[in-house]
Amino acid sequence: MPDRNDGPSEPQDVMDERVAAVYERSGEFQGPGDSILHSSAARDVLAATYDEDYEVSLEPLSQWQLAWRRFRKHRMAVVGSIMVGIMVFIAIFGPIIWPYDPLDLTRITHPGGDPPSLQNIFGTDYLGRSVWELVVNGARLSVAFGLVTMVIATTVGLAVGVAAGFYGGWVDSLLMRLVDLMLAIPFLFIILVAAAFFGGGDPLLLMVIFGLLSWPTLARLTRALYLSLREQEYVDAARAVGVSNRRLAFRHILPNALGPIIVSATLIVANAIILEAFVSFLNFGIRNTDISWGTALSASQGQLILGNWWWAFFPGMAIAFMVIGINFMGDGLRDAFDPRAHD
Amino acid sequence: MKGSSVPEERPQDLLVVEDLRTYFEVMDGTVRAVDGVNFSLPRGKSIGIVGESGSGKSVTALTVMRLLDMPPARIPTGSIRLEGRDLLALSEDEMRGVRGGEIAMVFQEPMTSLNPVFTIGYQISEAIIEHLHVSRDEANERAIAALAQVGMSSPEQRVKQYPHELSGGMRQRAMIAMGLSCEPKMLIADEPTTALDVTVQAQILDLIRASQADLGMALMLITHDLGVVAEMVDHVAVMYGGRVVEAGPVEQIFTSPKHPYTLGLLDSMPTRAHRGERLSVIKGSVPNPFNMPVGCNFAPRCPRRFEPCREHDPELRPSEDGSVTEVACWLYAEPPADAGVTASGVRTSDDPGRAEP
Repeated sequence: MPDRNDGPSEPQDVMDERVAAVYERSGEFQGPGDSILHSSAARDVLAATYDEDYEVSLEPLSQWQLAWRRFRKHRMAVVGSIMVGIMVFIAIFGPIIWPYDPLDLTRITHPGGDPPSLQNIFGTDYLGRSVWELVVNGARLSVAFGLVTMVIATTVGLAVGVAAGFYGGWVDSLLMRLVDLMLAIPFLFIILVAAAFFGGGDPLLLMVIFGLLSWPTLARLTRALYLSLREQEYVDAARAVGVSNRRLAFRHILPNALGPIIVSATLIVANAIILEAFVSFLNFGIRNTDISWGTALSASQGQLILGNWWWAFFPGMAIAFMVIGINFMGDGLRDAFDPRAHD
Repeated sequence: MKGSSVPEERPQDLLVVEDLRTYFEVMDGTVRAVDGVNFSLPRGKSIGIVGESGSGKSVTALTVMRLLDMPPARIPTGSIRLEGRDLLALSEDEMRGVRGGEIAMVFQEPMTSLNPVFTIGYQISEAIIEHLHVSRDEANERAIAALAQVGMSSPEQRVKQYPHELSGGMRQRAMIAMGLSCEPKMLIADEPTTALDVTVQAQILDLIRASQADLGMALMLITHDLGVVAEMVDHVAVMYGGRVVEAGPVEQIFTSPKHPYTLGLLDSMPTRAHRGERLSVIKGSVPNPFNMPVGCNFAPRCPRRFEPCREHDPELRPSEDGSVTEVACWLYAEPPADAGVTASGVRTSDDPGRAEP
């Protein structure tokens, strides 16, 4: 079977001669401009000499594989993934390797805590506890916040967005008014109310609340994607073959919409981590007895005046590191899914 | 029998469309995209629906398949009977069984008719599973067989490929394979070759014709290309302004066209005989869909119009000279008595050069 590297299979003039010969033999050839359609003999020649599309020697690549390839080449994305990977590793294994015991107090030499030294690379807090252990143990809760919030927000946001975008009509209007309502509510207000009502501080409850506050933006995005994708011709073609609406919405259109949705979901993770820190910093977040980067930031405020900058600095850097990593990944994902990006 | 053009349903008719109208309610008014279409398609035969852009041919096909969004679209009257069953009366679930299972449709744009995130094997299998309820493995086998049937080389490999790896002609073959995979009774092809180049066009048309013979399938071919029609179909229905203006066997339409619009269309085809001369055109343009002319839709552009044309809508009926073609034109039927015909019954013709009122 000829392939692309073989060069043309016949010189062009030989081909023309053959076609002309067949035409003449069949007595149908009238001159240039004669429609090829009206000569079945010519068609036989064409069928015989038509090069079936060259045998494809490459592996078939799905959209996902293509996106992965683009992602891998994107330097920021790779860096970001490494950063996030480090943080996730620390979140999972950190507390095992460096367990945190709030009662493990060591003597400190400075008021306010010991600065970074060989024994404590991140220094200690005002009671002599290692800040390194604090950061490493706080990672778990902070990262969990990011992930759980993202899962909840994505689940609800997708459901609402798909329904509104695909079905349109009154369903769309109703759901979008709900989205408008949710976006109008100030989140801090809700947090405060929840803290007061539920005897605040339960991390899981807070994650749920964060999730329920983050879904509207994703829903709008999904709806917008669906409004355009449902007009694509392959939707009509699938419908013409008998595919049901529900299958069309979830099986056919959704994979095509996932690119921007994934990017948005990663940003929800980053957002949730910052939100947790912010809210814990104000003492409306999780209980002081749980360790997170946010509670560390909050507790360390009092010691700043005594010169203890490391207790606030390192947890803050951890947050920044994680969020920057996620943002880099998000950039990479956006470019990876963009069909117009150069390979 | 002269008179009404409503087709009687004979036992060999697969599809009978009767007085079908599809209107679109939009902000600026009502668009009468299909305004009283009648035709019948016998089992195993083929009909070509010809017309300009905007004549309503695609909307007719979409109405038969009930693929239109019903809020803007509505079907005020008409029936579409497939083997006696009125498709317009079916529930959506029942209609889904018809789509693909009994009537298959192939669209114009092969480049975008396939979902880019699935392999073509998956998409064909999905159609098969939907209608034939077989296992995924068996559906895959059938998909490979369907691809082989449409002339794709190495179907076992093609089945795992994505649409972006195939050329336009191959994608159209894949679409046809998807349509034929459930062995439907009828295929609707909406300008299947318009987006393809000429050599591929010939192959696809051959493929459609061969499949039709293999499966004993009826074919409804929609096109604006008269050359394709001449080759492919048994009957022709010429549409203009949402109505069928002439219908009959293909040889008759081409050798003795009656309706002035058909004459205009055939005249405007470039032929070798008039090489180097200016192409003839039909003066004027398609009427504004919100403001269709009173009387015959074609009258403003017709070189042979006379008084009744501007007042009364001609119906599609067999022409008075007894031929088998049906025409919707006052030249071939007795206009109503109150039209401006002279006392002796002689038809006077307007000067077509006169400015439009």
